[in-house]
Amino acid sequence: MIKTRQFLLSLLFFSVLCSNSIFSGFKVPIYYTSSVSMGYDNNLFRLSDLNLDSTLLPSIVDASAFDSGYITPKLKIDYQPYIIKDLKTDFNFAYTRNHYFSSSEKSFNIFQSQIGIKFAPYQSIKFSHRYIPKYYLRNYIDHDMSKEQYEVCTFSIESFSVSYSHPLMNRNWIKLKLNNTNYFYNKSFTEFDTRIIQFEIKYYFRFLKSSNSIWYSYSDGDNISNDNGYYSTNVNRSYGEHNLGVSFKKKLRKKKTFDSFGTSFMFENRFYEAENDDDLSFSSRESALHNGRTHNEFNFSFWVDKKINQINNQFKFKYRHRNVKSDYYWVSDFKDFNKFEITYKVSFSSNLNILY
Amino acid sequence: MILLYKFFILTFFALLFAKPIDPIGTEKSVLISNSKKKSKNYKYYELDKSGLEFEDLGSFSNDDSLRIKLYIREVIAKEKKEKQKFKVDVSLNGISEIVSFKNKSMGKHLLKNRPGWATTDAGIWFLDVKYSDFKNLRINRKSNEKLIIRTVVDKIDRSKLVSRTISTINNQKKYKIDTKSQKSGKLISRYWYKLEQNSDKLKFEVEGPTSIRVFSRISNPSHNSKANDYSLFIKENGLDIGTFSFSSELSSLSNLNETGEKVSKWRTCWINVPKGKHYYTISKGSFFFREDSYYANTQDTIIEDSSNTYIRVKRYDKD
Repeated sequence: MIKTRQFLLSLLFFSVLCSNSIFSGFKVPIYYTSSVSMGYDNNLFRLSDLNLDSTLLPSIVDASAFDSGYITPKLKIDYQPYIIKDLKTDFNFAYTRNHYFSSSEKSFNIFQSQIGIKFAPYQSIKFSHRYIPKYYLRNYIDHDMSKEQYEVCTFSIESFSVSYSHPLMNRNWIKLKLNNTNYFYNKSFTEFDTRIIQFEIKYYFRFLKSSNSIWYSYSDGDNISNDNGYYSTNVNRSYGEHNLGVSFKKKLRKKKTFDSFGTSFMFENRFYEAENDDDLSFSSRESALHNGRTHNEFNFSFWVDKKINQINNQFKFKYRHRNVKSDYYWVSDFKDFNKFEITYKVSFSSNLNILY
Repeated sequence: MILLYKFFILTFFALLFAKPIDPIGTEKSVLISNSKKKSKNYKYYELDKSGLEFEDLGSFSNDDSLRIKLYIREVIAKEKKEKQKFKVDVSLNGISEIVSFKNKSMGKHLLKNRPGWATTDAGIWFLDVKYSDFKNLRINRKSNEKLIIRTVVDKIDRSKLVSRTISTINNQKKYKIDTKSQKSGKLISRYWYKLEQNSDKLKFEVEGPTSIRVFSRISNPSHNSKANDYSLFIKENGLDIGTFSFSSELSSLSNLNETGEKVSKWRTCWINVPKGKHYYTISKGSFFFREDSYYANTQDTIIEDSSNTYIRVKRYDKD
């Protein structure tokens, strides 16, 4: 009797699932955006002026030059089925390849995926995953193995995040985001392995007929390999980081040379937690490198957009400056850097009707 | 109620009461509804590769004139912002024409039970046909877009309009033109005004809103139909509202009562009269193919124009 009831219930459930209206929720357009960015980066490895002038430059980077042109193709696929009635679910996947002409080692892939559920305009919850399998930083000395030999330093980045957006008055909205990112280094530099928990609050608002946002985030970087037995892991490389940013985007209503333009500015303050007042000697450069170190970083970007025959064209300029403070005078010589990038991006968005 | 308003009202009622018709065979249909008024649904048929064919317009009498109206929409992704263009091949009684639409942006209508999809604004096309002349209507795809079509039929009905002949504001000479009725064989006489060369004496006062219809015909029409092309200039309150050109032919039933001259078949144009009192001046235009004609052996003498233009003006109001 119970089995019969279970069978009937299963049958009923299956028939509901198979009903046309359920399936029609899955038969929705598939959106895609493909883009190609071409650009120039004047300081690919974020080297300080001292590094750039150093005779050791060939040892610390695997590249024919420290600046480079690059090309970045990207494909994004967006599928938005209605699994639950009137609730739009958003699955999207993106693949990006950053290819640097002067350094194949520096080239990397990015895989991004996201699941979102939209409850109402400006109200949604999103779960995101981002993965960079291998990112080449530069060459460093592996202090566990040698005091002179440079080794390739790479790491993978994997982050998971959950965000919630909520509408406010006058088409303004707010987003809260919690992000967990793991930096896992190659076997020579596992002492840098870090897990970062970041909380971000971002406020999107309209002002002077422009779309703006302002955000703050705090990141807690935990050096998870600290004190795991290797010589190099006796230094705690954990840090805290504040980020403050603002962006502005203005659409030009009348026909102008550009359709829109925008700018953003971001300030980052990172402070390493290791603070040992007694360690002021050169006996350990590694411990000195992070001991009481802070840095302030400024990011500025400006872009203009123009759509021509359904092709979006964007010119972007980015400038980045890092200023390091440490009790050890040489640290800033090695860690300060300036760089800029100029990018031209073309992108095309459309949809596939194959599921209609 | 003036004719123009009546036309709009008829169109409006046609939208409300026009009868949708179904294609023959088994064709896939979808329902669409206004995103704001979801209770009202409209049935559309998908235009696939095999096309849609209509053979039954519904119940009308053989003398009825019908308007077949097509609402053609493209099914698009809900987030598609670009304006769309599409075209179809419409064939009425075997005579086909390509109808193309462009700059169709996303409309307010959504597909029922098909989330994620929307439709463009409707591209509208209509065909007027006498019921007894209708054989079939075929619609075929001429582009690859996903199109849906709603076809409605409505009877064209102007029988309730009342017409009245309007006289000039001063006394102008009228000319009687007799016409032999085709049905009864009796002579029917009507008074017409003659348009004189370089004269704007024919002035009419009309109180709107209404519509007026200017009937015109010429005397001594040529057997060469091109030589019977003529035009009228019409001014409203002193401002030009247009040059109306006509092409006519010899009438076998009418002639001027006074002289027995043959006249052409009449031609008409409609003018919508706005609210209030308005004055219309009608004057004679050109006979296009006669003005440049010369006697064969005297290069500088223009042929005398032996044709006159005659007009009548009527206003049309609701019963």
